[in-house]
Amino acid sequence: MTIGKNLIIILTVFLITNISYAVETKEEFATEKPSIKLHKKSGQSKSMAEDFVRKNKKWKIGLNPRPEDKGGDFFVSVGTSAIAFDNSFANFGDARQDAFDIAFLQSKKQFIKFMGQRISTNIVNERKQGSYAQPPEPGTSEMENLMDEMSSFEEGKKLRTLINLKLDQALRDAGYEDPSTPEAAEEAEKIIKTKEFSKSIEAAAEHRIAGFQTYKVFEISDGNKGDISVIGLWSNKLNLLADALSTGGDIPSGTPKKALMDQIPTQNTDEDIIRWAFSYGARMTTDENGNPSILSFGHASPLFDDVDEWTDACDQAILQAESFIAVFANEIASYKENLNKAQNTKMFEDNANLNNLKSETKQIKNYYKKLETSGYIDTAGSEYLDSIEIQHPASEQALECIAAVGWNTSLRTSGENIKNTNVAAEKITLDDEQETDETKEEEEDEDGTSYSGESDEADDDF
Amino acid sequence: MKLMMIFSFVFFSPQSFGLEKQLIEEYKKIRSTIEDKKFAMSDNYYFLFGSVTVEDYEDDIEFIAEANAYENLDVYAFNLICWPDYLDTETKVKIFYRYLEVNPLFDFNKNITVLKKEKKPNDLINITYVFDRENNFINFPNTEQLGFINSCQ
Repeated sequence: MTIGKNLIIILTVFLITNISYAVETKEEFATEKPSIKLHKKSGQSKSMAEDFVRKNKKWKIGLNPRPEDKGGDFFVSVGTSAIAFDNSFANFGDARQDAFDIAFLQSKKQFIKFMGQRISTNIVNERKQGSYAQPPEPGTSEMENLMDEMSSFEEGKKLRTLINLKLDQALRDAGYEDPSTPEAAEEAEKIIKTKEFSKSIEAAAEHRIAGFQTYKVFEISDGNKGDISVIGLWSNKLNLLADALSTGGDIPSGTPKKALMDQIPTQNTDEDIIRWAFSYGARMTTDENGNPSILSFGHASPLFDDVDEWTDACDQAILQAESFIAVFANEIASYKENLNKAQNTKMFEDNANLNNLKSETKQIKNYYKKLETSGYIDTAGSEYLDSIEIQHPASEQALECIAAVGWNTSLRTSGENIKNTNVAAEKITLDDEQETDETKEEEEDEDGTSYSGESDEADDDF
Repeated sequence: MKLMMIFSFVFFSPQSFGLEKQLIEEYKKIRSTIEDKKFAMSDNYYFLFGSVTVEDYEDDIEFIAEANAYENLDVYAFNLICWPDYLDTETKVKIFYRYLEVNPLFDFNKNITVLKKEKKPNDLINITYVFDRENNFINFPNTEQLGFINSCQ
């Protein structure tokens, strides 16, 4: 009788409410604090994400200054997409994944914009302060030395140097023979704001995207319509980890060292099951041996509830997770390689993809396909970690198998040709802003019943 | 506790499905053979099977796989015929397609639906299509209709 009563209460609560969900990754690397929040309105994941950034984290969307000893400045951006699924729910897993892909692309584009603005500001300031006062003349031995020296430059500096060289040429074309005069600096500010030059800067900014990854995902659904918002984060430390991943160099100090198996959710608690439900795509981490690694999650829906169909769906989810590893690693490696090779900004302009990519599933899939097969890194040997079969809270018909797959650089069989030990890596110090908030909310509000859960605690040496 | 109860319910409750129960039951009977035979027929449905290798996602995968499913159906229909041994394959194919020009496999076909899409390793995508037999009819030619004596009986 008590069981019956409980079931009625549960059913009533569940049916009268609408749903929103969120999962985040802890500062740069680890997952933390997934939450589920029941919500009546759809289309609000973006404001929830923005509120989270501004109110909960006290961050800004865009550039966030942070002391160098804590990892330096970082960028936060938000992208949103509707979940386009039909009523059959047979493609529910695909539809959610597609929405995530679009939202993630949007957040990347926003990052490129912010990074571009920062590059422009830095260049203008450097010129005004005279720190770019005596640029080498083209064709001279000084210029040759600079080009040689550039390979050892830190990524951001190299990029700014190449843009400055292009700017010098633009100034000369505009009649400023000496680009270091105050007048030339003023003209440089105007040139840098032109549409054409902005494009070059954004193409260059795109080449700093290695390391950009999902920090937290918000998802809202009323059972029919839903949307996903992705908070993306980029920091120097993440960029250096991306460097280590693509080149086999040292990992930044302070990155977590934990077995990949221990970094995925368990299936033992409700909170962890929710974490599974909202884990998307690929992200960087390190394994217990300190190897730069990628954790990836794939989603697929069975045609209906049946052992054979679940088996097929889980096979699909594993394949999808494996392909995300290849996409993620190759994207990082391709940008890093372009940066290494670049002798001028044309390399960036010719190889910029993201800003021109339409926020459409087909285009994104096509882009992913090209990356997956580009062969910058061989991600063969990825390791299946675990999978879970769930019924999504959005609908009892929405079944999903979610699979987790891991890969680390010790499994890499190629890509060593671009090895370039990252000497700057160990200079980055531990970001000790560990979240220890273990609060569990359960509240009633006018939109319905709200819940929040939490993930595992971050590793001690993170 | 309430949270735990709710999710216990959510994750382990009985489910209902978007697909018709009848279709599910009939699909279950043929699914082990569809990939092999590329065609199956149950009491109320026709199941066609097409594959496509994904070279470029710009292409319309479902359209290409559907074309392949119809080709597979032709092959299935071709293999139903008890061909005389004295004919070479080229002649058999000519006869077969000449017959289909006058007597197409489908008198009419509508409401073809993608039932299942599966990505396989090496960029292969398999798609199972379903037609209901109420609105669609496939005229499989038999040996006699092609003018041969059925020596396979």
